[in-house]
Amino acid sequence: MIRRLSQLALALVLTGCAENAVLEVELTLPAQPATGAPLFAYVQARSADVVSFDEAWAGTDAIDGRALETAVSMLPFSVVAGGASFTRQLGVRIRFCASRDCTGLGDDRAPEVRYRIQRAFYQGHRTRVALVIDAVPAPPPPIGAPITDIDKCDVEGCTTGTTSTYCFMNGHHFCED
Amino acid sequence: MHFGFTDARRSAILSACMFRGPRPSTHALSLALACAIGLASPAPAAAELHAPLGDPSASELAEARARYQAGNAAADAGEFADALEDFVRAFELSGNPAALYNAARTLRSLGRHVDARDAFDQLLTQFPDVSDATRAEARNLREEEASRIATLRLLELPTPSEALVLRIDGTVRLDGGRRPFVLEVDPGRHGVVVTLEHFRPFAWEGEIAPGGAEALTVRLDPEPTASSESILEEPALWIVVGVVVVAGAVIGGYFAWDSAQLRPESQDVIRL
Repeated sequence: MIRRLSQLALALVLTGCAENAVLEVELTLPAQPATGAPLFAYVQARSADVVSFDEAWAGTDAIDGRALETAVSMLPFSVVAGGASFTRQLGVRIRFCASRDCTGLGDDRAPEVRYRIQRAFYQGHRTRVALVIDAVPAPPPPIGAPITDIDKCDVEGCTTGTTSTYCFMNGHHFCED
Repeated sequence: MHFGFTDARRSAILSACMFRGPRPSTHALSLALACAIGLASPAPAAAELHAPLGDPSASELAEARARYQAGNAAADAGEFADALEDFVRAFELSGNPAALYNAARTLRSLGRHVDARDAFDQLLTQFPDVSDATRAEARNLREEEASRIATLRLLELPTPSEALVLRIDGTVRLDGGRRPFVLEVDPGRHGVVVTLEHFRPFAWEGEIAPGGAEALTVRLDPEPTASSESILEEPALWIVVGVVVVAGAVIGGYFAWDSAQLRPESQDVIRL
């Protein structure tokens, strides 16, 4: 309650200033494998100082499982972050499960793809990143499955046009104050 | 004529204050005020010190003599309040002008110049047989006291009514209806409060020098109407107003804050 009131009070002071940040993710999903049961892409995201994929992300917000199609498909989604997440890493976990909510039999060992973004959020700014999954990985995922690291300079934002990097030469992102 | 005092007997103050009988208009204030010096505030009623109506008995004379001697002893010791009690009582019992004279001088020592002048006046008018020397001395002292008396004039005072209350130094004063209202006071600090129903009180406090004159214009402004006052002074009203203002600010601030936040472009959203 006190936290809420504090937020409201701060909001009154900072009226007109966005306190959040949004990462728009354009996720390319692979086609449904020719053999096997239908799969659903179950997407989760969490922020941490150092994102770990070694444990289950129980309680982490997720997007309803999306059934893979016979061809490559797009799954755009947004990740909204508050102040605590701005300077943290962002982990994105895409699991290919037999059930939509990834709780079906054998889904605890469902194959998955892991992304770790060095920094994705900047207060008051919208950033974008494109993630492409060419194919469903082979189950089960080995411990220490590969993680695709995405540098903060590869996160699009705070500029127009096309560029190979979104950082200044000193390494600061365009969105950094 | 000797001058002295005795031990304080506070109960005698009250008895000494209980003067009765006709009151000459020239004696606006009397020893009654002075004898009440041991009380919280002087008695407002005007009265003069009275001698016994008939011849005093032997025991009364004996007591008067004892009180007179006690008064002299107290005065010698500088205990003028006690001395005044004794001289007043001695005069009441005996009607002896020596007691009245000493009482007048005691009032003078106490700085009660109005009462002292009146006591000297009483001596000069009611006791023509005192010695010439005493009369001359009493007259000189009377003039000296009269020159020290200050006056307080209240201008624009409303006409007398039960709703009009005049307090000088915290004591209610009778309003005879004469305008302007003039009051003789001893020099020093005084306070005046005038109250009238449905008007804001008038108050003044200040210093008046010996022989000085202070003229006060009494302005009585009407009080606000009861209805508007009762509404504005109602705490619940201000609580409601405060709650509405705070709630409005919070709600308005929230919407302003919320509208400033970034909106996700996609229908599918993950919130960290």
